[in-house]
Amino acid sequence: MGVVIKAFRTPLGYYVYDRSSNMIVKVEKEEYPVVLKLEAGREDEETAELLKAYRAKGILKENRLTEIRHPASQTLPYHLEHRVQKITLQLTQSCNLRCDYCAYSGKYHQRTHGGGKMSMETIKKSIDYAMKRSDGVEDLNIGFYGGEPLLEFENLKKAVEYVSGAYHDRKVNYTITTNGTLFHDEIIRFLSAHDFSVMVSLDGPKELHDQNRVFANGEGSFDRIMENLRYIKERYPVFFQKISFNTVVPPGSDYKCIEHFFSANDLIEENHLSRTTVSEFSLKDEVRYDDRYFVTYQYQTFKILMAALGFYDKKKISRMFSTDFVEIQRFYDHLGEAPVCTSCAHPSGPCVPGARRPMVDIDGNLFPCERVSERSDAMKLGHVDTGCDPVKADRLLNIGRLTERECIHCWNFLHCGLCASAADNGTALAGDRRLSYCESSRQGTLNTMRSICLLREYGYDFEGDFFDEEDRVISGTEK
Amino acid sequence: MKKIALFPVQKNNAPLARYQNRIPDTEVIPILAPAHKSMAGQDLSALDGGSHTGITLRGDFEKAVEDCELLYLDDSRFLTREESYAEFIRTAERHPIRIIYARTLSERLHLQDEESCSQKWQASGLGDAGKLTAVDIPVISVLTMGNETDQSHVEIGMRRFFQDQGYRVSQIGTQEYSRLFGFSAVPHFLFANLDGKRKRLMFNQFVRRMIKEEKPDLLIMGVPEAVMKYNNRIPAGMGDVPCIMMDAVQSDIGVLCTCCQPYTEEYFKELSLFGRYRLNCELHYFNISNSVVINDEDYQDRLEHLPLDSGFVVSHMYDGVDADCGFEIFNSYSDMSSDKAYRRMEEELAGNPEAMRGGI
Repeated sequence: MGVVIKAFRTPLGYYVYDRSSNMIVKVEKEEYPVVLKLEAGREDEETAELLKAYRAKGILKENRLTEIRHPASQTLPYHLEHRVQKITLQLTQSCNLRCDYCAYSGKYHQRTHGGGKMSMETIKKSIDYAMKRSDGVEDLNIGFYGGEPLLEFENLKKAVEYVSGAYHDRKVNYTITTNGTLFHDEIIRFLSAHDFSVMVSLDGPKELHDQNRVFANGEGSFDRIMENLRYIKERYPVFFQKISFNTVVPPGSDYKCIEHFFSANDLIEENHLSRTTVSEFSLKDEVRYDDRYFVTYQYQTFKILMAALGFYDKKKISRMFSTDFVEIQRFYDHLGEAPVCTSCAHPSGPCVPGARRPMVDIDGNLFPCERVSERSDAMKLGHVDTGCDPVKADRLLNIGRLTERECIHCWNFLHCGLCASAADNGTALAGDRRLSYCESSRQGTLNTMRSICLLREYGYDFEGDFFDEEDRVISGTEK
Repeated sequence: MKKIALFPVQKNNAPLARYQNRIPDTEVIPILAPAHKSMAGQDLSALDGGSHTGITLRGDFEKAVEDCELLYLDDSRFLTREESYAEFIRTAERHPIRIIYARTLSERLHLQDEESCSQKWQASGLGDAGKLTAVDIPVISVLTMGNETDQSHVEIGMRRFFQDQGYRVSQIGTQEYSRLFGFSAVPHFLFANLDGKRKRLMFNQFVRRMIKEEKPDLLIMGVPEAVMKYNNRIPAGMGDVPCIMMDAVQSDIGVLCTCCQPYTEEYFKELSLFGRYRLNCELHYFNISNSVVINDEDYQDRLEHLPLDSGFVVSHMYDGVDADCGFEIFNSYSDMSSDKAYRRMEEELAGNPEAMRGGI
């Protein structure tokens, strides 16, 4: 079976990542060619000797993995019955905007904007469904999603009132994702009174934001959003602090310009900010980011590493990228944990579908989350009337079985991150579709490992406190 | 018949309701936390995953406490807001009811001079004798790998078994409600800011005093806190209290309670050796609880558990382990499997003259 490893270099060192121990090991320059031979599966006297030495230290063990099976497979029915952590209600499929890269714009294997909305009966059933199946979690999270959920503010209000009445002593956290164009006093007061966490989509300066985020009549939405935000900050400063922003960076956009907007804008300077790229999953046509995107991205990463080493002022790090370092730290913190040393395991990536964060569409159909295609039969887990189909949930949970042969020998097994939606080609779950994302996933892991090694080479203390606790908490929430 | 309201009923205190027939003239009313209200009206087994009990879970706090004389208020991770407790306390106080608090809850709510039920044997007067003295009866220690391992259920179930065989049992329980069953909880000084040596000597005296008074045939010693850290990010108590107790009182048998996971024989062998060298007691008995540690989250800085039921656990607890491996692997909620384990302990102790002599 051999070993499953990945050899890599930094300007100052030679390393090997060992899946059997989930550790990065520094190797001597002279050993590196032998490690490369091991990685390629070539065996000779040299590799045997090196293996013997490493195995005496408990690393580079023989790959025992023969079967892909998620550890939660056997207990899946218990997860579905007791561990629903978050439920997202699609209050409406309508939206007052027509964003170019929206999942419902017609560019995805996904439904398009429609006029349907969730009935109060379905809302109540969905809440009952989650309440009944969340006795294993401390607090339930209820999210409101759309379309634009604030178009259905009356039903949103009734939903919260229903929870307050029927489950008055249950701890519930509310979240809403909105385009930020529909706020008014009543909405703000209500969301504030019920301690909502609000995520507003804002893509940067007016010229960029309005390129994609437009009303149905083609008019940009930037001015309306900023006007609303100014009003909220002035009149409801405490609530304003609970608003976070997500910026979608579409291909071809000027990263630097976006970055400048968020660092120079004093209106939202203290709010949490996250960034995403246009989702590739279920997209009909390929999405391509140009060199400018990658150069800016790498430059920002470079600045973070320099700041960690004390060569750059950490206050100058882009807020859009500050959480990237926390990911590096997390990766480091978890090295050595949960190595692949059994005959049966599953690559990282899939959540427990139907338990972690199920989404209910306007008709009461259950999906693993709001990010999957609602048109995909594979993703439709069931209905709030009948519950999740455990067979379908198991298929999504064990998505790695589609690519078992490749996963068994993949060094990125523990850091893969590809969930079932990566295998959804619009009509079925397909192994080749899933494999098409492997390279970028592996490259991401390799970059993180190189960053870790580079930081160590320059004396960075991973047990220190480069980012304070608050930064980590924010990132944790975001994750 | 005296009625005791138990709130909120949860896995670690459910044995108080399940074994209420062991408390003379007492009925225990289990009342659910709001998070578990959907279980109201169901049998207690829906909560603890054990066999059917005929005891109904209640969700109506006010009505349930109405005709109770006593309310045992426990600490719960499902009631994270202190004001929630305040509300329930106010509701209870509208009735002529005595409230006793779990020690940890009392500390959390900053209550002073409130009644705690945990101590039967007082720690006062325990001095520094300067040496450890042998405990001259067989001792079974019940240890844990962490939370949700059904440790308290093992403690009470084992008590039931040995009492039913006619033994006089002295006991130290990990749960605050132990005194309601007529035995003491782990003394508070073990958690106090004292040096380890002093704690060992005091605990040794504490047990000696108990044995002298109660003249039992057997001591069942519940040992709180995990015997080892889970990992560097979840260190728990680093196994300090178990080490202190196991140093202070030599155990003849150690039972380790752990969650349901796909274990291997090698793993149990390692644990057994860990017991020998760290806890002064080789471990051959392993209770597999009706819970599993959830490991589907990529990153977690605390442990989350998923409730299972006894049927599932019993059918999987020997997966990956040979039934003839020499270790007794059992599930306390399965009478067949736990009685077999307790019977083997009885035989082991009966055939072990050294155990009968005790000695450190």
